[in-house]
Amino acid sequence: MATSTVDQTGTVAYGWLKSLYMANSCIQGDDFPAHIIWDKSARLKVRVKCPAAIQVKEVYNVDQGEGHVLENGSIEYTNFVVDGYIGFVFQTKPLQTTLVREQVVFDVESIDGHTRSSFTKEIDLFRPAVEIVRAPAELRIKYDKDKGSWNLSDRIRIRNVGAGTALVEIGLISEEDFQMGASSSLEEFQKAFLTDLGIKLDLLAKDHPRHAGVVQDVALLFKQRIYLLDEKIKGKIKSTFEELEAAGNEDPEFIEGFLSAVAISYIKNISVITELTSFLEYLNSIGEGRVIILNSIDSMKAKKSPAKLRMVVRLTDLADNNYPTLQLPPITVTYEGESGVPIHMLFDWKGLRAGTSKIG
Amino acid sequence: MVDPISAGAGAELAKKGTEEIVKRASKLIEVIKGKHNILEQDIVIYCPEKIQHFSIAFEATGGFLGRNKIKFPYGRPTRVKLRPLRSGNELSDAVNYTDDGFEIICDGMQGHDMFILEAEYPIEDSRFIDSLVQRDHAKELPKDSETEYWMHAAIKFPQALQTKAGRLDLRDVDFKVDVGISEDIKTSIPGSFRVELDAAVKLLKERDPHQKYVLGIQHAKAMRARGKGRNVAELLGELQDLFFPTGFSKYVEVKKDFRYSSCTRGVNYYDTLPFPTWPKSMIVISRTDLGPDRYAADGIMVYKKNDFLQRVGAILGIQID
Repeated sequence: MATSTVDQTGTVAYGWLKSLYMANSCIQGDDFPAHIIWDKSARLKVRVKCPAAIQVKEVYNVDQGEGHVLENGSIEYTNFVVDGYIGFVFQTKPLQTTLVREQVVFDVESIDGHTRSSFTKEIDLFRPAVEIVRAPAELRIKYDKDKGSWNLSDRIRIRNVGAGTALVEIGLISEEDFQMGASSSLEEFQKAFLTDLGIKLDLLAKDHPRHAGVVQDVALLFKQRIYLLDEKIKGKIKSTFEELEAAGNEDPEFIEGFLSAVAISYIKNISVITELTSFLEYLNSIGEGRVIILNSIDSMKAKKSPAKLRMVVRLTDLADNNYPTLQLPPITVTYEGESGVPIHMLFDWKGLRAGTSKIG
Repeated sequence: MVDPISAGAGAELAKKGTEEIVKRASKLIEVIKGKHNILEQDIVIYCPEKIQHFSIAFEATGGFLGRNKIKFPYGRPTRVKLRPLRSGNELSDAVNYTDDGFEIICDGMQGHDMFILEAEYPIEDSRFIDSLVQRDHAKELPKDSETEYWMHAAIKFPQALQTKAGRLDLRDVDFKVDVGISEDIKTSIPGSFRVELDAAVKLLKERDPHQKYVLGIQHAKAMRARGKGRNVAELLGELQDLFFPTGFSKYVEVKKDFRYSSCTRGVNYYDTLPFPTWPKSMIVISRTDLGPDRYAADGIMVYKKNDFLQRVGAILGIQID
């Protein structure tokens, strides 16, 4: 007799079925798992049917050549290496809709056909979506030296309309009129920290010549002004830190040396003012609606006034997916006083106001 | 047709790693089996420590065993223990480490007594555990209001857990789940506190005595607006305490097949500074066990967001709904 169950949370246990589990949420483009465990004495066949957004990536505990696609699109597994278990990894595709609930159907049937149960498991597939709501054609920026505060005639309005966190990096298309610089408030600390760290990393590389290459790569990444989400750099950062992690797994003494080099350089240069400033910068780096601005503490320095500001917004999510870079229309900026405005001051992450129009 | 993982690249590594473990276990068993009765044997992999642990229970045959030595020249172990089942006390003088392994000196052993020999060896290839276990967890949750992160561990090759040298178990399979907290902190910080913080920074930076006086008044005004006597540096110190394991563990609960182990500040390679003073996330480490009785495990890590926010509010002296 066939039974049917729909479930979005938890693990199903039913008769000879000891557990049927599937994750209930996943960032689009990422993988998620499922498994079925049943009584070892029961001889079963398992069929799985996925929607277009989901496909089977890996299957555990089935014989070579298993996984026959049936007419209705289900994949059937009948021969298991060890009785009573099958494991799955599913792969999801990036979708137009930022949050969608999909269903995967698991049919479990006894080999003799006497017992059949159908279980539908649900999963939320989500991703962030950042859009430019409004970008002013002109911007007047005034720095009040006495108060140490910035006054801007307008802001660029950007928001995350999707689900999940967007990691955002602001970049310059052209450095003709503007250049990016370090945050003035933390510049002194950063310089002193990086000088000390450089010396310590050189010593570490000498003590561990086998890992000198990765130490040099890490030191270079810290020193250089780079766009973290630039396609080429992104790969380099990831591979360097993976290499560092692997070196640490293999040689605990080396990673202890590395971590203490970072910690000592940090503690040596930290002060009450750095603590307070870093907390302010931390707050500034978090946009509303699950947005983290990776280079919020950097500043945009104009080479002249008025100057044309041409920027891009690079994006990723917590599964490290690639998204198209957003290009902002050019903005004519006039400055009064100092020109190095912190990046977070240029943006407003609040929701859409009535009467504003969306671009891009 | 979908290719099963047994055709995948990790299969070779898992097979090789398991074979090496079983080979060593078999050799240890063979040595004892030649002289005594084996009662039980098993193999446990301690995942975080990357250790293979062999346990062999045997009954010594014959009368007094005298000054005989049982040699195990199969690589140097990190630890060996021999215990009679009767007393349970370790016979520390009975184990002697040699260049190529270890030996048991039978002096303290009596015939017809039962013993447990435990030996531990390092796992050389750090990729071995990953080749045997598929680990997945929620990288984040679709909505801000949700607080339950799923975790799942699955054995890729269950046949590897039933070996000729006994059952093979995996203990403490570890999971690191990132809990995003930055937005929670940001939204719970009132505007008045940011004004006060800004004033405090300016006051500390200022060198000119007159400006310092003016900023001092501004800072005092901002403090009064908040209505609390403590300064921002003290409050930030208390907030920092929340990001230590003892502080944050109160706001975490691990359920189902997993158990809580520890937590630490989240480090992301996208962070601008390599040693972040204020974490954007906390990493919660949970563990589970896998073996022939449990090929897959699922668990939930609950972030008690409301309690965390209440604590942040209490530190700052504000009410959070």
